[in-house]
Amino acid sequence: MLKRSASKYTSKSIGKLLYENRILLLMLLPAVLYTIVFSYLPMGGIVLAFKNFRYADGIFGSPWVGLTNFKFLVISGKLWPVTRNTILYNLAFIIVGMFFQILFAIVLSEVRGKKFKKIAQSSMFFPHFISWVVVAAIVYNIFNYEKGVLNNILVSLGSARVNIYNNPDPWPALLIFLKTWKGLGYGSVVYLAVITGIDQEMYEAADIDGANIWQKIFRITIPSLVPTIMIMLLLSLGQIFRGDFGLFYQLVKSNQKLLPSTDIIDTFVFRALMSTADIGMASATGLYQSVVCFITILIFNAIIKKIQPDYALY
Amino acid sequence: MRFINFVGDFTMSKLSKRNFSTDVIAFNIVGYVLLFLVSVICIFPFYLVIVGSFTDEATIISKGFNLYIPKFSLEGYKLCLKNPETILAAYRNTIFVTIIGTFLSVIMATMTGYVLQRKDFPWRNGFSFFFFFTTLFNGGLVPYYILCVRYLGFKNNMVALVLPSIFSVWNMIIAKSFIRDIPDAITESAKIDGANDFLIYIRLIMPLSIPLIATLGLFSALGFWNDWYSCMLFIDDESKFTLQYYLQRMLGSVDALRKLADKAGVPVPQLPMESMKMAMTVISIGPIILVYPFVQRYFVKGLTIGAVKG
Amino acid sequence: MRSKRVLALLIAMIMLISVALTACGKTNNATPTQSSESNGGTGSKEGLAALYPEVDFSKRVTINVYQLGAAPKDKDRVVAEINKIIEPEINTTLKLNFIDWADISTKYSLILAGGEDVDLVFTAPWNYYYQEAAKGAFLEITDEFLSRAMPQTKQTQHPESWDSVKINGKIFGVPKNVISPEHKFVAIREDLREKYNIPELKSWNDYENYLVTIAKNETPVSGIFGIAASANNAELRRVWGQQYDIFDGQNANIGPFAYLWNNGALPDDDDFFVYWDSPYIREFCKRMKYLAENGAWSQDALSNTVSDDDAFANGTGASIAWNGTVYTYGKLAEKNIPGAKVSYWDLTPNSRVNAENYSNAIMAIATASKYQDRAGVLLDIMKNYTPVYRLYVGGIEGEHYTATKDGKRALGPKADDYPWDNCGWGIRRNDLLEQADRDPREVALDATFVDRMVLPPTNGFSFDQEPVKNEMAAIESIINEYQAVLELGMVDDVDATIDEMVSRMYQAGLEKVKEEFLNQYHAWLATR
Repeated sequence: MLKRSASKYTSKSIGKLLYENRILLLMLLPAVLYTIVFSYLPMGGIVLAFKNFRYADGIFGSPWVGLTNFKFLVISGKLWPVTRNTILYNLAFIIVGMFFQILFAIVLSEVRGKKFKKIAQSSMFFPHFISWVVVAAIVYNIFNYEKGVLNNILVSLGSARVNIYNNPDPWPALLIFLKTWKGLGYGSVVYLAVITGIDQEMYEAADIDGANIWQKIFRITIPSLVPTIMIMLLLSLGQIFRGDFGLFYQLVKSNQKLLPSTDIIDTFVFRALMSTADIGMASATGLYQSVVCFITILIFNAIIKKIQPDYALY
Repeated sequence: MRFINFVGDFTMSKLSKRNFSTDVIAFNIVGYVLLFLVSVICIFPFYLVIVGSFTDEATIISKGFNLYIPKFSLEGYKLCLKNPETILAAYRNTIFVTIIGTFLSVIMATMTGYVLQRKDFPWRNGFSFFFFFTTLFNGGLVPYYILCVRYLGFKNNMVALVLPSIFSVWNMIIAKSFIRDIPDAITESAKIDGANDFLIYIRLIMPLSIPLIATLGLFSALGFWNDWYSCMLFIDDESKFTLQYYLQRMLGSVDALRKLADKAGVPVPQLPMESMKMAMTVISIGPIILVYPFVQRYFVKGLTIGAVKG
Repeated sequence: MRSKRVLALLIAMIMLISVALTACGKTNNATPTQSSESNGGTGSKEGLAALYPEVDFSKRVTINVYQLGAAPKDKDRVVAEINKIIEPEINTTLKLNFIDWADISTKYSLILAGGEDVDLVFTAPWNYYYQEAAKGAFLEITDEFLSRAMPQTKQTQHPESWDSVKINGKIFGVPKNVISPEHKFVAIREDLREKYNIPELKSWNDYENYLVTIAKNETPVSGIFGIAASANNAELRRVWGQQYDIFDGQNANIGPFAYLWNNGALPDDDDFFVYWDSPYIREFCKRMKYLAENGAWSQDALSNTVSDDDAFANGTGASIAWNGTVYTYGKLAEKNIPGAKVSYWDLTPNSRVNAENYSNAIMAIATASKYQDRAGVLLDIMKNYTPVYRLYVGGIEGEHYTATKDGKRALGPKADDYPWDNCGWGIRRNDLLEQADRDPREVALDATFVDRMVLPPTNGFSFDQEPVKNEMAAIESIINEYQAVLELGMVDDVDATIDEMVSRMYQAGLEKVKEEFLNQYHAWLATR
């Protein structure tokens, strides 16, 4: 009863295949319509990256200017440093973030004590609701030189004050910590959902075999999470050239001392385009990020497909 | 003596049932410590925010955040809730949008995800790419805005708050991955019974995907609840504002005005900004933080396959 | 069969929901923004329509006006009053829309590009006037258009005002018709000055003295900073620049360049210099470093999340520098802080005073407007016909404001519902009623500004950055990178840092920008 996977392997005509799969196709219809209208129709606007937009001419009538809109990215000399920062930070966010999200999903699923679990789980969600603006204010309160909580403690212990706002070194760690903290509750939900869906019989069988809890985690839970991990990894890689603007902008602001280690594509472009609001240049930046993300995902999806096709995104 | 035996047997039976061996105890201890630490790190800043929301503005500015309330004040809240009718309307609008949006969003994601994980669907890779591609490339705000306002009539239309967000490729991919874990045997037997694909989806797949629905429902609800961008773009009529936009705007106004006031020559209104930011955070979390515990009960093991097998 | 019923039920539910949604949409779109075809009334009392013989008033038209800021509570009532006047006269209905401050950077462009009904829109150099004009958003105001649709304005508008909005000789909006002094000065804690016997502040050095004294004596005790700087010290930089009467990109729209006042003479090529490379700004940055080292502000001022004005009003800062807005904060400080007194000082009493130029508030007509002539007529009436002008700017007399006997104004009982001049900047003119209860310190200081007020000698020339916008974007981002740390004195070696910044600017194409700038300047000179 298994249908073949592609018409080229069968002698069925397209028409027959369409008819056989008509219900499935119908079920796809809403999403396809939505995607065409809200994603593909406006996508024509990508051409704005190559045009000098004039209202009277509209998007398609405006004059072509080739690659001029990309020039500002290059002549500033900062394109590579900010791109490198964006990638490195995103990689760190992904790795550290996923590690802790999975860790806590496993802990939450195995630990006893329903009430405590519920409280812990809910509290892990609070950071998600605190905007970066407020986070920046809290961080400032803790770390500022004259009145910060940290410095007050250091002074009372007899050590010298520290000024982290003048020193770019601790920032990567701080930013990674903040990003992980904010996304912990939200991100662990997916893994938790998968864990709850794991067939309990496997655990019972392991119990009978006398496995301890560590073995159960490493031999059953984690392997069952691997497909999800791969999917989340691929999805995150597909956004690797797009930074979390809110985080970097609010925490770092225009502190030139910190920029070399904390400036990302999004904040750099924001500063450049702040007063001009130029549509072509903004579009060019978006296209640059899209293209490099696309190349990345093409490479990684192809690699994954060779190893285990089920884990690939498409 | 018999009593002691009884207690002993009883305890032993309970212990062996719960498998109270050393590794489990060790795990629980480590787990508790980790969870405790994480809870503190997560709750503490929020606690500061709550305290800050009830603190008077001058104190926040001069002394920063405190562990207790040095000078009680409701100015932040008073400002946020200044127009009760507007706030109530905003709450109402947001709840309405969130409920409808979440419902549609979960259906879209799961239905599409179900189709795309069917190994016998000939074009699943093509469609997967078709959807995924849209997360990479984006035409920008201007074409999107022109499309929505000029051709779809979104201006001042509540549809604009729901429709653009009802399909998330991210959610769909999660759904696809989750549904794929449901054994084929179940759907096969239904097919033999003559059920069509849609029925299988509704009556078999969905009930087996409770944790998935809970997850997607949660994500969608949070997304709709927090969304202020759609409101900013399309809604001018105050009675149709959503909660987040209403609050954001109050703050963003003063912020933006401060930067421009120099050139605009316009007086900057004196708002207790800091305590207002805190009050805003607390108000906007309100209901949604209650949703999560409600949803938590669906994250219970054995709700899926086990139930079916039984 | 049950399955079919379930399916049907589901489909019905989905249909119901979408119908409900679109129905909501439809009912909410009840008020058409397009014109209705009804022919308007007759009976023009004031005979306004007669001023515009060439304009066709036969159709009733709705003109959409976009202003910045928050919509006042009584907007609808005031607009209704305005419509009572203009509908019978010129068969036009005014519809007033607002773009909130918070949304400007996103929405302003979109509204012009998005195909909504826009007829009149506020703009200014600081609000994308040049950028949007370059994209063709605004109608060119020609002499012929003025004669036809805005004859009153043609007569009453000051000639220099047109100069201030010219782009390559063309005009794309109608500026306001009044200039006022825009001087930067400081507000300080008078009680602290008295406490430490600091002499009166008559110069920049006096102010430095004040800051350093506070830093030495008051800061260690109470934590109050001389100036609780936050994010940058741009205002102090403006005050400093006033000592040399510098005209730069901010007050003369000449990009990254600047020149000094020379008794009103037009600068030569050699008189222009790169603002951030000049000895004046270098010296400023060195002074800032000196002040920072002496503790005038926090070491972490860069990341400070509280603004210096809020700090001043709440007692953690001992001074602020700005324009007339300082009076608001001064009043707050006196209210909030027990024992506080505030005094205001002009640190450059012999300098020129910048004018808040005509171009600072412009009303433009959108090219997308379907009723350009009618929009022009409405603008003409708003600017020149006093009853409409007063309504638009101040609201309903007696409720939102009251005119006092000596030609001033006071707050009316419902002043908050339609704050004075909350959307009238674009049409301001000379007889804007002055507030009756102004702080006497403010009045005294302002009086010293009026006589020294000048427009930039290059008024009428504006640097069109379009041909070099890529270089300018790169240069802007470089300046933004260094500006804050230099202004807050947080660099180790001022000269070295500025050298680095300038060399990067040249790498980004500053030479090319200079060339383009001078070419444009020569072209403009030739037209005079």
